[in-house]
Amino acid sequence: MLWFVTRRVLQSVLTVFGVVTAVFFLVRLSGDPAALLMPVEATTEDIARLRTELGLDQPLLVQYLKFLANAAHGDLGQSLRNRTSALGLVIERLPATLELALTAFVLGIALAFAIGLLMRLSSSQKLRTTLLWAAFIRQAIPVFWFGLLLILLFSVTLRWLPSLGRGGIANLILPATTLATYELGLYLRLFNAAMAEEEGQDYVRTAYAKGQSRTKIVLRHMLPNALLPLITIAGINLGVLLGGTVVTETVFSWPGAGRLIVQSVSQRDYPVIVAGVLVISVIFVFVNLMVDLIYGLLDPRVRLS
Amino acid sequence: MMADVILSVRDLTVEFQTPDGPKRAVDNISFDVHEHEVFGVVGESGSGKSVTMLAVMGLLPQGQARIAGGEVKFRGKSLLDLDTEGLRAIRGKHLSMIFQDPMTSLNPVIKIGSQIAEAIGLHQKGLSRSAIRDRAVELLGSVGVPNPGRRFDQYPHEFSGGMRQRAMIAMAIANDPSILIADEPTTALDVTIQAQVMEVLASVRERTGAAMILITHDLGLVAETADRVAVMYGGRVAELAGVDEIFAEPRHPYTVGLLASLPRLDASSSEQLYSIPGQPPGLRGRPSGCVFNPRCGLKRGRERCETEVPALREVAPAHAAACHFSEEVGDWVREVAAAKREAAL
Repeated sequence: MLWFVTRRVLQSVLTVFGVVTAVFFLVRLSGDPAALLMPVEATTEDIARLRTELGLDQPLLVQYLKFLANAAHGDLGQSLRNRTSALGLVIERLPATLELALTAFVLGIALAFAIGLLMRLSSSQKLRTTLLWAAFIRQAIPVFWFGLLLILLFSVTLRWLPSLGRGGIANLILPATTLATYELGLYLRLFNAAMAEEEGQDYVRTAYAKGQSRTKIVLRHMLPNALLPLITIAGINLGVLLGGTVVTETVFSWPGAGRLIVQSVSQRDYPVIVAGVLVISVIFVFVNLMVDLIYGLLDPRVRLS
Repeated sequence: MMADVILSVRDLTVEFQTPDGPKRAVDNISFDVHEHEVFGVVGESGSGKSVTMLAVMGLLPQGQARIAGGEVKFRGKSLLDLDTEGLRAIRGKHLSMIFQDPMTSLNPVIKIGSQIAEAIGLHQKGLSRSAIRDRAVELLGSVGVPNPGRRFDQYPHEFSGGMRQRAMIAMAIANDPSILIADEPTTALDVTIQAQVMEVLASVRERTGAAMILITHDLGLVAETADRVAVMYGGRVAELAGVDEIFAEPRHPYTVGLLASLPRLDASSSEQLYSIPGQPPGLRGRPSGCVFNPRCGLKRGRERCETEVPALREVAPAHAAACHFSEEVGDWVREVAAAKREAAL
């Protein structure tokens, strides 16, 4: 077990390193930030001076090695826009992203389990079909449009909830609902498919042959097996959510990390981009590590190997 | 005098839903199982032997198959009239089942011991947790699992195939059932393990006195184990008799073909193994009249075989066969054997 964890942690570190390296070079391909930072009337000399100042005139490899050396000390450079720590900017935005992502994730997955189990235990075929169709339709609606519809109904028409920014619970409701319903649709369909798959397994028949009840068979026998595929998807998805839900954050002007990174890309503020990607990939990799460990707890076959 | 009938199946018909409408997987079959006996059910895949037993247990896949008619009585009580609760009280207690594939028949994420304990707890209410555990460990030991105390806490993947099937047997006998239904209990196992598992089943039966229904396609296994045999073909019972009679004097052409296709020790190795011509019918393409008629050597072009379904009738004391010309089978077998000897000379 210890060896398993150590190996996975080492893999994770390598993954983050790879991602940051790739982003570092890709951002450089997108053009010269110095030209964009200077006013329109600046001369070529002015731009050249700024490039020297920022170290952009040096060979790419030298820039990269310098970046690595600084990064090793926890210094990811300064934002080209506001001359403050790039990492600091990203971390400042994290709580907003975490708040939105975790609320949507927990809400979505909890509802998916509750509704999914109800669907399994209910004998009504009509109820099942209706719920599955509802999930399917919600998933087919793009997030930005669903968000706008919510704003139209609850902010504009009914005037119940604010449409912009972050503050109290009231601000959280619309963006969290937008994301959570999408998550719910996804997990419900996955959960239902996984449970349907278990339904036909031989061990289920064995449990019936013992005289076990339908409810217990669903909860005790099928559920733990159906969780395994679901957890993998949920883990990846939580990583994506935590990485910033760019569209939702933009629609609701939610001050999260996703929106910050998108803004930085259009401004070629590459230290912030790199810092943002670094933080997100650390979170993503950490969540996946957790998923692997949980997987081991649930499935005894994984634990040994 | 024969022991009392414990399980009686009368005119049982099971239909499967297919794109062309309902099709009979089991067609009007009847048989009795007596106390303490081993009742063998032999047939090829698709002959309806497993489906029959699933119907008896009330375990047919819902929405795909249904019992279209007939009666199943356990100790005189109809099983088909029972509601879910009534069936649950019988399953695992009076009637229990061992399945073909021990790899998939155990839940992979639940400890072996807990799965056996579940079977005990369901039917022996009021036992304490530790009493249930003790009983489960004792059961594991009784089916020849070494170190049962330690094995209790292991998961199915830590058990070999043979050990898993022993665990399945332990689970099936947890409540001293009156009938043990073993559906191809050794088919998925290595040959050496097969013999061990059959030994475990024999000793379990000796101890508990349970009757056993042994479903198999292995005639050798039937010859060694069973007291009486039903030979199934195309969803019907072709022949039903004591195991000695059926091997010595088969009264149905299909049984004759089955016996002829067994490898023999006294045959020369160059001799080709006999196989019944043609294929067993699928669910959709069942022939009219006798289901076996397109493959039958005794038919000799007779129209009756194609138009009239032969009833299962007594052709000798305690020996039933479903063939219009059952009386000719003996002579036919001798004729064919004589012709074969002549050809060899």
